[in-house]
Amino acid sequence: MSRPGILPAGRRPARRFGAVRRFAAIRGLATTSCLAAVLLAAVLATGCASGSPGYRSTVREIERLPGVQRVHVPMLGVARFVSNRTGGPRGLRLAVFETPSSSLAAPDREPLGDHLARTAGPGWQRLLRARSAGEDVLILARPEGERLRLLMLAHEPHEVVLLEVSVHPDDLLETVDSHGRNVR
Amino acid sequence: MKVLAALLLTAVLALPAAAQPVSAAASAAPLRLTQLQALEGHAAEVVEVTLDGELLRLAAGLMSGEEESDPELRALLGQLRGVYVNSYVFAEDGAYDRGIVQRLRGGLGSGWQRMVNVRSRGAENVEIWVRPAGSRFDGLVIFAAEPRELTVVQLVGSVDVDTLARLEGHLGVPRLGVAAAEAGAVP
Repeated sequence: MSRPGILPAGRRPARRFGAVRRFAAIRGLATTSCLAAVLLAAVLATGCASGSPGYRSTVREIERLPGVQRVHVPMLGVARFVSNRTGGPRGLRLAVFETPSSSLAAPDREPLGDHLARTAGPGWQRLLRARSAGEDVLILARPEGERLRLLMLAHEPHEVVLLEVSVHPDDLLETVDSHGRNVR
Repeated sequence: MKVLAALLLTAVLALPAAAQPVSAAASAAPLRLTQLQALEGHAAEVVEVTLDGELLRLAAGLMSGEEESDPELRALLGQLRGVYVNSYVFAEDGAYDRGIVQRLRGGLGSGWQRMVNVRSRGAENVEIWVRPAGSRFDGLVIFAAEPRELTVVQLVGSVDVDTLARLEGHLGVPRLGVAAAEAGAVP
């Protein structure tokens, strides 16, 4: 049944709605394709971007430790893509490693945190070190223009997590305060 | 205990600042508290904060929230050259030798004066040492010792009690009631 004013005279409603469905299907396909392309680009971008020299050298140092294996982190590219566009930390890099023993030390028996703080490269300053309940956290910081690059190493038994982010300097105090909160 | 500390600080703040010049050579680097390294193996929790150089300059220009528009606080931070915090938490009472505070104190060298000394048997002992430089101080060290916790804070640079009051609770500096004592000292 045709409704005056909605459908042109002489055209059947089924044909009209069929066209709408086809258009919707094409538009949906285009949207899905765009989304997939964006996500793929984000994932590829993450794969290509390998972090600052400090991050790369730290990853290399950890990988050189005996028995350490790097673990793939799924959807990291998407997380980085979203983070970059939501005003949060930028330049997110994350590497996760499985370690064979709970106590991990550099080849010269130097504590891992001290070793990595020394080998991260010029410009990095040790900001915070915390140890609690079997977890060691080391945060190195490096001013980068108006922002601050943080290199965070968390070492738990059998796992090492390395994270690099670029944050607004406001987050510096928050970072220190949050870790130093248990001071008192 | 915190009330007692606040009262003592109030009394200290009511006094005119002791002004003794200090040599320029003695006014630069933070103290090397090597004795603290021996505590690491015994502590259940360790926190070390090192904020100096470029990072401190960044911090001086970025106090967030309502403090963002506080030029006085920025000026205070801008006069600091370093904030160093070492904190150790132990699993049980007596897990560390509380005599370490005495040994650390002995390493301060000449020119340091004890500004605050709060002692409590079996509870928290707080000592604040300063190195006078003109009408201000060029260094301030806090030793806060409890049966299960030891915190040592160093502020290096031009500092006064107001600086300490404003930094309480930030950057790992413990809350000692300085701000409350200071507010109480104002008539």
